[in-house]
Amino acid sequence: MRRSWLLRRIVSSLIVLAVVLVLNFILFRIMPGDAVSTIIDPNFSPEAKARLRQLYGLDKPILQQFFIYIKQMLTFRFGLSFLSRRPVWDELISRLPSTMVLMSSSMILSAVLGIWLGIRAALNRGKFTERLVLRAGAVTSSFPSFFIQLVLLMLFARTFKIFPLRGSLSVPPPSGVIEVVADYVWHMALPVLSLTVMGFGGWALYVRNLMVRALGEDYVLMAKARGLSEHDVVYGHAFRTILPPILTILLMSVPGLVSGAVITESVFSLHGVGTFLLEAVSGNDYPSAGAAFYLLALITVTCNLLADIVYGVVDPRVRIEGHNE
Amino acid sequence: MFPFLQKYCSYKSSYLVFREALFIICGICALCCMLVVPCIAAAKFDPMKARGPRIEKLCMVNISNPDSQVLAAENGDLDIVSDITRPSDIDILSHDPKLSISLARAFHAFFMLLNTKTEPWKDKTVRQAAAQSIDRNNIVRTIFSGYCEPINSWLPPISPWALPESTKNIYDRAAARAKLRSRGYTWNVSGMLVAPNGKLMPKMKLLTPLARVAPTTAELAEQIADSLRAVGFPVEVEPMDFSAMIAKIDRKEYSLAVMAWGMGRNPDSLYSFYHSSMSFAGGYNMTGISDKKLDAALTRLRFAKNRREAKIASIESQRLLEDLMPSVPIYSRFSVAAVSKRWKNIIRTDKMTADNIWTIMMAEPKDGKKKTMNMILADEPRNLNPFVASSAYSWQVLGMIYEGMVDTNPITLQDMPGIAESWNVSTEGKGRAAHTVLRFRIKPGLKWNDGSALNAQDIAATILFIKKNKIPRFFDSVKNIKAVTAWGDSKIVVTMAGTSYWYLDNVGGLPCMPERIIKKIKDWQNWNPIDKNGKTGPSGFVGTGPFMFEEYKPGEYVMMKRNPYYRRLSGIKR
Amino acid sequence: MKNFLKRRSVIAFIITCLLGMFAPMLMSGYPSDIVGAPFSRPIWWNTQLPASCEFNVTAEGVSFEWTKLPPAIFSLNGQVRAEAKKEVNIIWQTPQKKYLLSSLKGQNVYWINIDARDMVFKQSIGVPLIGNGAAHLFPCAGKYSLIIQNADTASLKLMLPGGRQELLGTDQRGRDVLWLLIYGIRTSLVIGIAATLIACLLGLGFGLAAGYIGGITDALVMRTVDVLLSIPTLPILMVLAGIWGKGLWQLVLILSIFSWMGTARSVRSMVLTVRESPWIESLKALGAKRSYILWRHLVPETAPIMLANIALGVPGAILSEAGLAFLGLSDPRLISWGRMLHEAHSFGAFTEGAWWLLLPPGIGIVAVCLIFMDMGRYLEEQIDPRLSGDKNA
Repeated sequence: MRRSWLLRRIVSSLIVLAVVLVLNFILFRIMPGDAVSTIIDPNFSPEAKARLRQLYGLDKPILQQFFIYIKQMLTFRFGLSFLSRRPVWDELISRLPSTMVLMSSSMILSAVLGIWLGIRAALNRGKFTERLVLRAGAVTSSFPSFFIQLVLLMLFARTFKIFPLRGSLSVPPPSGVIEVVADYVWHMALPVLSLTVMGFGGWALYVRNLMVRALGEDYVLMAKARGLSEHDVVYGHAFRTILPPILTILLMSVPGLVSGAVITESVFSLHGVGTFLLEAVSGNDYPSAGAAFYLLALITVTCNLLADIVYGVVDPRVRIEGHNE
Repeated sequence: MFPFLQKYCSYKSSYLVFREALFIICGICALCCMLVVPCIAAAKFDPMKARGPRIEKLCMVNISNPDSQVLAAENGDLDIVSDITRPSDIDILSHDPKLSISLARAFHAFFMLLNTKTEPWKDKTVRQAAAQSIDRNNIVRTIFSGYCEPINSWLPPISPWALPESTKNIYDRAAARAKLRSRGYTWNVSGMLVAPNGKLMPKMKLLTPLARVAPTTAELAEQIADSLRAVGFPVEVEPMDFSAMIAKIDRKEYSLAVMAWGMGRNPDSLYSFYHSSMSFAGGYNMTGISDKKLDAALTRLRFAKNRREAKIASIESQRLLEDLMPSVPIYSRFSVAAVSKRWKNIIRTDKMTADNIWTIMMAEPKDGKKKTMNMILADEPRNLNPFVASSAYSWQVLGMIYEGMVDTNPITLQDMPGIAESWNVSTEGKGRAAHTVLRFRIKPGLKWNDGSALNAQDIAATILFIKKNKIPRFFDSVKNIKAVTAWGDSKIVVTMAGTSYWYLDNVGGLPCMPERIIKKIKDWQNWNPIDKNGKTGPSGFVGTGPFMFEEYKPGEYVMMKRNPYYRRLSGIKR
Repeated sequence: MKNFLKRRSVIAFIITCLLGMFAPMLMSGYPSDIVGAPFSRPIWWNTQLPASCEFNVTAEGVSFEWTKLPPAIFSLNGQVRAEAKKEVNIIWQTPQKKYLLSSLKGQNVYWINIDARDMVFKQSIGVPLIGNGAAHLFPCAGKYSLIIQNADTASLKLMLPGGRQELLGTDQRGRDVLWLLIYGIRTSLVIGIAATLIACLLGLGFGLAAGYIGGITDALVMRTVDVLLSIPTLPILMVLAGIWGKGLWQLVLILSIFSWMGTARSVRSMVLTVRESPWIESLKALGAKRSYILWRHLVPETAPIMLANIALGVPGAILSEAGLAFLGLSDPRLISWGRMLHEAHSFGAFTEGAWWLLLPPGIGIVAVCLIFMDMGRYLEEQIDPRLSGDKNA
């Protein structure tokens, strides 16, 4: 039962991936113009543009371009970017660390903070703590992201000069491993702080709702009646119940991180995947945009699959009854 | 001045003539003043005698957020900030006592394109009327707070080839109406134009690119549309994605469009934009203008044999364009730069702001302590392969490393010796077989930045390499080269197909590299000079420019160091 | 229902809607009219700066005392009549210097259009080209006069927009911020509510179809949901905005296409649980048609979920629109709070310190989001009483 369920899930994930691949190709080719047509430069004649198109492979028939695209995506050899003429893979690799560190640390921090505050709020129903957590969470998650980031930048990088203005490294960079790491952390502090502040609210509210429902269940009453301490009741029993949805949401929020990265990276002048994506899309850079979208789709599909598997592991009812499909 | 006025009195109302005169006088005074004041500084500066670089290290800091750029300049983290566009930033930095701000005209012009193949723009007088209805002064004041100038010229006013009246403001609403009346147009009760055939003019769309690249363009388009509506043209703004707009313009499916582009110094670009043979899909003649006299003048301009012919053809082309008005010039930007006062020997001319290569070469710290100069790099130079890199930011770095045979004089914007100390442009052959021959004499004793000697074979090899591989970026400069020969160590003869005075700048501007480096390049498309593994080609940037490459941290900075073999370094304490 | 209407958030929502709908009708002019100098402060802030003033100037000229900081703009417009042979001079007298603003001769009627922002003008009176020209014309506190020599008649207007203007100041172009804010209510609310409504209707439709009909339809709908979730939102919004063009309804459509998935999933899971329940079975036994069951029974069941999803989805739509506008992808002709923030950011409000441009739309967005989140939370608590403070449930 379990193996066939897993197999079905994997097959459907592959179908989804294939559809996304084709959709991406079509979507970009529908957009009018290409990377070469928007160059308006008297020193770049239409002849030179034709030569450039030839080098980009844009003069081949569309079906041939499609097959080249599929081959590139499946072998992870994404070719050269139109805008920079450097291998797309190299550019992505050089930008991945920054984005990954930023997004994963802010995701983990906001999740941890949000979960902790949500549980505290659920335990203190009707009291000041709950109201404070919910209100603070609601307010911070309603601000547009760039707003909070720009305000923090002005406050702490200009008025109080505690944090640096830009980038992830000082110019010139310090020597010594510990100093470099410390410098990096100092530079990343503001972006991560801003993302955490904006992210914890949603987590707190959601976890509070889940926890309240869980605490209202009969088995919790039973556990309390048996004389278990509040800590055991909450973290031993109720938390285990709400773990599946939390893990699911955690895994499902991974793909959405990139969109958040776009704005953060432009405000703090970081060298990350978000700006890469933005430039690729606005510049009709098919190889870069296609590669980035494909990788994101891969990550999303993988996270979906993982979420379902994790859900199945933690909640045995799912895989036995096949209920979740 | 009077013949000038007589020419304009024929189609202008008299009470506005003297307003025009006032502007012309002031414009000429402004031109003179802009020359006099900085010349006091420039008079001491002779580019032929410049010696440098005097700094050892130059760091180009990558800051893409404009707010962060201004904050960095105020903090003192940046010594040179280029191209400050927002008026509020200009005002803030101008009040900062630690920074000195300079202003100069830029190689930029903003046009409104008219589709001359559709009604009503088929009629030359209607196009002239549209040009006269636009209140350029108001646009410059409200959107740019005065940091642009209205123009009536198809070359940017900074170009030495632009006509003297290029900054004239031809705004005259009454004259525009008079012109329309003379062609049989009338107005209905709500003030909208009625064509001579009695029908109300159909609504016209003004295409404009979106705000992401040029934040002010959408508002500009609205103001232009307002001006046109005030005279009776039923214009509506339609913002769209830039690629979509270009596609529509290519298919000539538009009525009006606004666009700006950067231009070079030479006027032969007018051929690409206004010659009727360039009117195909993908060509630059986006207005579709087709006029025999203009074609003849532009052909004479593009294929001029010498400077004298070029000058005559350039003046004639521009005057014809002013009469035909296929596109309406609106304004040209000023470029504003800020340099930290901690440095001395800051060079500014009336043609260049202080953030030019001469300042970087000659600047020294005022307090005498050794310092790295920090310069802004507004976006990432994603590719540092000189054959492939096309972004201005890549060339901000590469331009410090590589040089061409012919350089540009910062004061007059005319040609100046670079690697070549002298040259000769001659026309050989007769009739159809006439062709231009360029002869360059290389300065003796020049060295590459790794210490090896430079000779003519190196330059010939570079040019032939570019031609053989049909490298797109330099395609137009080399496509007409028939032969390149190096004579001895210091003479190069380049034989072209056909005649054109502009071949000199085309060939003279190509970057030069040593022959042994060229021979080792295996895959010029994928060549990355930073890679040390040598799979696609040799590693390292070998050029003759004032600086050498040291380090590149993507997204952070590019560090450069002084070229110890640079030809202008003699006589400087190391 | 009564309790619902009594909540503060609902009252605030109703007031905001009314304001957005009717206030533009009551005010004259357009929000895009330029009313003053760029970046002027609110009129009640920093009274060192001058408020805007205007003077009507006749042939005798005009004289006044000036005690505050210089104005932002110096603008002189109008008509002067004189004899052709006389030389008309327009002179500006400051306590320190005299400036010859204009010297005209040879005509009977002159049209004057002088503005201290013009480079040509700055050159002609000898002030530096960079910086505020008007500041040099008002060097200190004292008596200032505009003198017109040798003119017969003159009807000029001297406009001195100052550093303070309007209740909430002006933006980078000189437009009234309060006016823009009120006008923007409509756009933000329409986009938020319309996008969420359409998304929820789509979700309802797809969820019902997938849950009730099952089989192939179910598989198809769920795969579509997966595909749409695998595409990163912001970049795809950019691509679609590029293809379909900008505009209010295109934006609404694009936002709704990418937000129906969550509703579809919850509706589907609800339908799945209810589908096998006894009362649906009994309806089927009675011979009820599928459409009857769906329309009369299942849809009302979903109503609480839908209401809660709508109320919680609106903040998301408004923030997505703000994010898109921030990247410059929204229609520039449309006034929305996201657009106001984008323009403030790209035209330098942060470095200028123009808080009046940033806080009102930012707080507006936050306020609207909070209102909807509160309404949504209330509705959620109604659905699931355990969430409210009622300990007896």
